Amino acid sequence: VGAVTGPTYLPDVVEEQPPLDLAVAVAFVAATVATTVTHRAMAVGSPVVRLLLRPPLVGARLQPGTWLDGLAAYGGRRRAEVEHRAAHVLDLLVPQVTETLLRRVDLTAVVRNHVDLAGLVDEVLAEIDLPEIIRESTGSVTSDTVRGIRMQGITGDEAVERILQRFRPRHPRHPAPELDPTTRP
Amino acid sequence: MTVEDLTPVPQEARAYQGQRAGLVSRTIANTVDAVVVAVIVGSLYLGFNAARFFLGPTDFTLSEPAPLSSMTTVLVVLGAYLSVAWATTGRTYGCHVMGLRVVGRRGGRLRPVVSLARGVFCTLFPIGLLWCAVSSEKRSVQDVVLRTSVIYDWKPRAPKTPT
Repeated sequence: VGAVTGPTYLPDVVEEQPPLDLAVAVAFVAATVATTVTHRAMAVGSPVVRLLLRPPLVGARLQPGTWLDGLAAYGGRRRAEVEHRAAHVLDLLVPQVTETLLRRVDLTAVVRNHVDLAGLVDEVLAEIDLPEIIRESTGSVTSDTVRGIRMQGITGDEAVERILQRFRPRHPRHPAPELDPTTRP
Repeated sequence: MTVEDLTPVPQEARAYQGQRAGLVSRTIANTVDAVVVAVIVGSLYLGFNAARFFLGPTDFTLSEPAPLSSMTTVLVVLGAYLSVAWATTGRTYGCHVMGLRVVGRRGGRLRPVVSLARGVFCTLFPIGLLWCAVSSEKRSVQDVVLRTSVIYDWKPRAPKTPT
């Protein structure tokens, strides 16, 4: 996620938008009031509704509640059927639409323009420690013993250099030139 | 870490890559090379005697090499070993063990002529190595004369362009 170009995924400083904030606040208050009123109305009216749907002294087959239950069952069956048909249609349409979109959109260019590939690669390499994998997989494998001998040699070189440095003039007439790193073998 | 950091060289040694090596590393490398040359010369001696045995097994006795011819053989083998190694991979076996490489003045592989001259020079005047301890540039007498350097280089491949 961090490799995606453009604004970072953490929100920056939010710009002040008073009209929008006011509209959100009004909508939130209205929704809260509506919810409260509905709950209270249902608490008060539910016995009445229950009485209307299941009136006493009326046969179960003639009660409105029974009619509504049958209607709900029919609606449920129709809903499942519609969902099944919609899924079938989506299975047919989505691959074709996707194929058409991919034909019309240069996905490679989109990725190049909007994804920081180098940054992404760096993050991956930082996670997997590729140099160690290279050392283990190539023919130039250097055993820990050889590595230790080499590092001890370097340490010895530095120690000798420090000792001999005391006997040299502080400002040598011809200081040691640094080898150009670009021409290093 | 960046893509430029992709190197088989361990983290602790990367800072030294390309810098000139000091007396300790070079002395150890030369010691290893001396052992290698001793093995080669010993193998030649044994091979020579084996050939003599097969040619005349009845009156075979181990040859007693004359000091002059023995010394000549050692010097020739040593010079050839160093020259060929520096001209091809830039490193002898001792340099390989110690992670060193002999490079030209621009950091590339030695030309064959320079490599041969350095091999002969190092064979006839090995004490010139000690100058790298005195020199602030860490260069032996051979390095100063032939404008070469011995650097830390743990990477496996040698530079392609002779310099």
